[in-house]
Amino acid sequence: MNDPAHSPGASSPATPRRSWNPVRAILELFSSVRLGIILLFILFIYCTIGSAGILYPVAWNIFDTENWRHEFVRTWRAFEMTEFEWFHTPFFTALIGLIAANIFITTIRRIPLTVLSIGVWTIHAGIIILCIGSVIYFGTKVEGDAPVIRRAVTINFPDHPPVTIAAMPGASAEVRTDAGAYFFQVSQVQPDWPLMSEPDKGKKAYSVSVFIRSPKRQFIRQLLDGFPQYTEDIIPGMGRAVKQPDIGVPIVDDSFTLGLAPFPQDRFWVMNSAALCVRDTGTSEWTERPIRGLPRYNDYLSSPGDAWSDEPLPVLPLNIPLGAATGKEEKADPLGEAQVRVIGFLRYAEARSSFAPGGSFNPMAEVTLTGGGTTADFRLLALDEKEKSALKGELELRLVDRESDVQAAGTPQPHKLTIRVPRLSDEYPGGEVTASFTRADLIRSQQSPPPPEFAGDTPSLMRAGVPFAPIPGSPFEFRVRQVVDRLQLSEGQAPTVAIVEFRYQEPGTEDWTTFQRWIFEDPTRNRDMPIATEEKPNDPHTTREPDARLVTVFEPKPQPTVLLIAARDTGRLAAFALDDLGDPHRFDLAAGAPTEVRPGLTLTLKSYVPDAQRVTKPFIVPRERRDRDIDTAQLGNLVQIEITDRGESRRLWLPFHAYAVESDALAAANMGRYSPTEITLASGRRVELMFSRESRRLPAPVILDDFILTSQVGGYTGITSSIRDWTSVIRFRDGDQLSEPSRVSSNNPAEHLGYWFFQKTWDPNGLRYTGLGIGNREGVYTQLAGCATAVAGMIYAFYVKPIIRRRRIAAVHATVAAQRAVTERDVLLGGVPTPADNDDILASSTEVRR
Amino acid sequence: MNLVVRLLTLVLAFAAPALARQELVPTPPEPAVSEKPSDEFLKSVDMSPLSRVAVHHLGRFKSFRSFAREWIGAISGPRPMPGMSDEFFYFDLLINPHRYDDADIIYVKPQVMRQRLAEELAKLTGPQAVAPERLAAFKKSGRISEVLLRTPDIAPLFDRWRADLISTAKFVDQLQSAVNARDVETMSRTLCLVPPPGGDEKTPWYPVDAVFAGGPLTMSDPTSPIKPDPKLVGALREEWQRLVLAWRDEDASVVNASLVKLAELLPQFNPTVYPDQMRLKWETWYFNSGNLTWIWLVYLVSIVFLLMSVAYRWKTARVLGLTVFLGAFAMHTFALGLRWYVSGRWPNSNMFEAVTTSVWMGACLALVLEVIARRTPMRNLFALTAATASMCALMAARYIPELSPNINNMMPVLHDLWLYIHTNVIIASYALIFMASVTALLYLVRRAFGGSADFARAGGAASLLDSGGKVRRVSAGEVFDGATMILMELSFVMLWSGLVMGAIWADHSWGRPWGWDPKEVFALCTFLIFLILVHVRLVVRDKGLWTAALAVVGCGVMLFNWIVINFIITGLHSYA
Repeated sequence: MNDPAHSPGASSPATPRRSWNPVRAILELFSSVRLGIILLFILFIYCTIGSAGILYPVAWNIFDTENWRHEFVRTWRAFEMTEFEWFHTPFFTALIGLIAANIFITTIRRIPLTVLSIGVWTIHAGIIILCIGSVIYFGTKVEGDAPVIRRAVTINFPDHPPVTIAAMPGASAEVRTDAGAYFFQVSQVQPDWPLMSEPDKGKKAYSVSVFIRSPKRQFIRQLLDGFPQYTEDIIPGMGRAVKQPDIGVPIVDDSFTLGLAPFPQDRFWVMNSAALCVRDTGTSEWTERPIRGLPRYNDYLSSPGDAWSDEPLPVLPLNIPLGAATGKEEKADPLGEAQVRVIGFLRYAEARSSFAPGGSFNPMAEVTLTGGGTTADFRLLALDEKEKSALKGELELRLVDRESDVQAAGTPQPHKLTIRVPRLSDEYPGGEVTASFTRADLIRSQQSPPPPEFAGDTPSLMRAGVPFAPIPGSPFEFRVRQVVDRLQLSEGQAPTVAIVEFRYQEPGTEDWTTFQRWIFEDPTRNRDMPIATEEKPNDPHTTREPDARLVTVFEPKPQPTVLLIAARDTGRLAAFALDDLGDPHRFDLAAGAPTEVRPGLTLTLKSYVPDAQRVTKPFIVPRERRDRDIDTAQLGNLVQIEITDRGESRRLWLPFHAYAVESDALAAANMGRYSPTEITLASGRRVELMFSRESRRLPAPVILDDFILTSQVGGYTGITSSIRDWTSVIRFRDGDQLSEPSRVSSNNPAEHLGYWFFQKTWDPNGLRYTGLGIGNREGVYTQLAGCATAVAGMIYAFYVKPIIRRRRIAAVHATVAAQRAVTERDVLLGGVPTPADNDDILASSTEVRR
Repeated sequence: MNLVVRLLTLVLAFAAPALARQELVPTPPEPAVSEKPSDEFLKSVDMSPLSRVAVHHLGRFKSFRSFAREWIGAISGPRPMPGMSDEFFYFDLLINPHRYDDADIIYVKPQVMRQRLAEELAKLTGPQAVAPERLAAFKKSGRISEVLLRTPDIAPLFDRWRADLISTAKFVDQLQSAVNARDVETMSRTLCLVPPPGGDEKTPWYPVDAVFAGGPLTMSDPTSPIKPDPKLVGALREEWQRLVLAWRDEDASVVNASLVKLAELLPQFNPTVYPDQMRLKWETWYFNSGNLTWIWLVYLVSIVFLLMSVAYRWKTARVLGLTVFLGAFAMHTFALGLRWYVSGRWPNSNMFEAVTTSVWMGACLALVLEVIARRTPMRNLFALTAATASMCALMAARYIPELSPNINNMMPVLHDLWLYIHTNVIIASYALIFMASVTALLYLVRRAFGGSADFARAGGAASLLDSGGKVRRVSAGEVFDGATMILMELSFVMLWSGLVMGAIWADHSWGRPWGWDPKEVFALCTFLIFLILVHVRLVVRDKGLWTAALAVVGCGVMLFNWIVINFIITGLHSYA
């Protein structure tokens, strides 16, 4: 490094005084190393504060760590900036610009370009090139991410346009044909389904199971990606269709075809952006109104009554008008001419409902159940179908008109079972029997002594107690073994089922043939199967279609274990609980008093409001209770918007979604969130709104061919540390052409048409999608060139320059020594050294010093 | 009755959040007699056969020794239980869990929580009262019993801590994990000792339970790829049962015989995937030797001699100092090489490895500089600075629990060539920055005691060259300043190069060369300090003082980046 104080450009006292020239003054200022140092120091302070924040004491005892507070300055209300934004403010840009100018002017004016100063020049040139590259890079940078779903299910009916649904559990579609309505729903996705058929035995395939309800029957079709020849239908409770002797083929309904196809993603969502997404109800694609300048870290409310909080809320309204929408194919913004503005923002809040008296009749009870060493609180609303019960229906609040009806309503109603046998022969002309029974009836019948024919039998799972009853006009006898309320089925329904045993004697024999039937309210679910014993437990593969000689109709009346009944006329509340025998017991509840409704189970009525009115507002979650993952993913964000349409204004709170996806089936990458808000505009138009991010169209849609999980030694054991890497095999669709597959994994991005695709997230619940980071990177090579140039300059300045300098000094020493030798010889010979000789020596030394 | 069971099951399912709050405070278990294994049994049991036994845990085949350290560490903290090896304690906890119900074995890390817990427990009276000596021991060691943790009176305290997700919830989670880790079911399930018969390297291993009735190794499915040898399965089952019974009876001779037999039987299930016995033995030795972090003592001895050499120019001290330094460096190299061999990768993937490898690289560079400067007044200084850096780093690795020496797999993103290039260049520059601060401090001390405002006129590397290979008379200030500049210049180039290399890696890993991550920004801030230093040297008169002061500040910023940013302000580099 050269000392500019010795450089030729430095002012000399001998220089005559010149008139003041502003250009010259600025040049002089920017030629100053001191200015450079000051600018670097300011940059250091700015970077430190922006990145680490500040630490300051809040009490005099500074030796107690509790008395220190740490804050990120960039998150203060005055700034509301991410790290990226903090380092792209006009101040920061100006600071970098000043440093670049200082470097440039100082180098030009004060450092002469010599062999010895090449290092400094190179370093400074490198820094300038880096700055230019950074201007290009940050000026053009677009960065975001997108989930790419692995497969779509295509549904094809003859004479009907194809229908496509995402291969994600829950995705569904209904197709209406001449034969009736078909309902399709993806029920399960398994990434590694082992193939058992030759010649592919041992291979694994991506399996998608689709539940189908056709006008004739309901079944599940399993699709294997890449192996359409192994497509099979599975009939619930009966196993695979091919194994059923009465079907014998893998496909039970060939009136349509299902297949698996890629699911292209044509958009990505921009990092740290915000947008109001709008669409007409019933449509799929969203249009966007970008929200610019939305805060990120602090709460803003237009009035204190807009949210609940444990702490006093300052009123700090926002006023961010939203411009016109930017939608796909530039379709019209569904909000049309409506004025929309953002008036509030909450960083971490959750919608919370509260009930207050004063509304119309709407009984609400808050109760606490205590049992088994644990306690749980419940809120029940008699008039709300979803909220009137809890614990999967075991706890319920019902409404009756009169106090006198309470007792009857609390008494379990009997289930009704009708069995009809058609005419079978002259001997058996057919007949019908109806049985009514409650849970208590069944329990009592189980406790009665076994009939003589089973005396001495090994106790079995099902045999105990109940005698068979004959069905008139038929050879059949029956007995009801059990009623299971709310049986959990795989498709998410929970019907009540009666398990009934039938027997009949084969003609001419003494042997009884016995089987059981599971009878549902929906007769298409009914199935027959052998009676389970300890030796032969229930095997779902032995189930079969119901015996057509027995027509059964079941009308269940499930009864909750704990039932609360509110009377409209008196407004009073009573509780009924079933005991071990299934008999109801009534309890009159008093608020706050625990009542033991069953041994070991206590019910406490916390509050009862007959005329409750619901008030739903965001509740600001206290800082210390905020989940860091949710906070980082911004899933706690809520934005309040005001829509003014034809003079009518309304305010809405909308929760944040990372991606504005089409349906809840696609919300897995949103951490499960999918909650669009539906409103009706003054024009009567119904629209859905969603608070999400801005999206951009990709230059070419990307599809996910495969997703490969590579494990560490010992295989993937379900924990992250056993994963070695994730690889998305992707392709790009340019028109009708598909690109060659690209493998995207950690540290291994793919590039297509100027965009880079990175492995970002994955789906631990079935590898059904991948999360790709997407961005451009203009100017990176310029930045790299600048950095490399600076490195070369540093090496030169620190390690090459001293060698050159040393050689020059050695050369000077040699020259001086030689000249001295000559001089001494001349002196000895009588000569005298001239002043010019001395000047030459000095000049040589000065040159070396430079 | 089934209705009650069903209802309660449903209540439990729906009340999971409430249950989670209650987990640590159900009815306290019956107080168990706090027995201890007999001293004779403790002394007689020889756990050394387990040095040849591997465990599959967290995607790695570990020696039983390192597995036990990790597991016991999760329960009882970073220090072993007094008087017991981790292997012995693990087995005793597995076989005699009741013994530790009311034993102080659960580690509470934060001092503040220890204090509050002790205050609350001190209020207990009657049969629940806790002896003050026990509470004092708890505050010191941090270990408390599960019974005390489940005391209903402290439940509200835990509720408060659990609700504070920022300050205390993670420590309550750690406590919950510690309680879970000592659960026998959990321990049995995770002790995967049995390699998969017929499986390959990617097939999961089995816990010992697998050889018992109903276990996957007892089934005879012809389509299963697993082909257990029934004789081997029977032998393992028998031996394990013998071990457990003998352990309970404290029959050391049978236990020792069983351990030997187990160590022989286990590899036979699948010798092809079983880890190399030599590696397992070395891994055991490495952990038994305290990860060789005691080498800091050898470095300390070298520092004493080298300081004497620098201060008094005493030749004997110089020879002794360099000899001891070389010895320490050789041991350090061996420790690093051993860790490399045991883990199968160059050790720079966690804080323990980064710290110890960083100073080793500093020592390497110091040796090179010592050779170059052997005829200059700066000789000995580089060895001294490297010894100081190595001593501090190894002490930190030994005594700071956050620098865990456990060997685990790297995150997928770290499997890249740039990990070795970028990280090593950066941590080498950090070592040099620390070393520069040592000479800078020497300069500042000298100035504080009245030393003159000397400085190396030729600068850094140039001052080595300018000597022309001849020792000339220079002041100590000039020597210290010259050494600081040499180290600073090296670190300056390496830090900048490391930043650039990191940007290249980040560009193809995260999609952006620079993300303004705190770790990146503070590496840049460190560089800015040295940039200021270089330019300040051009304009100030007292160059030596400014250089030394800024070198120390630069070191402070570097340490802030390595300590505060890593542990408090996490970002994309949370693993660095």
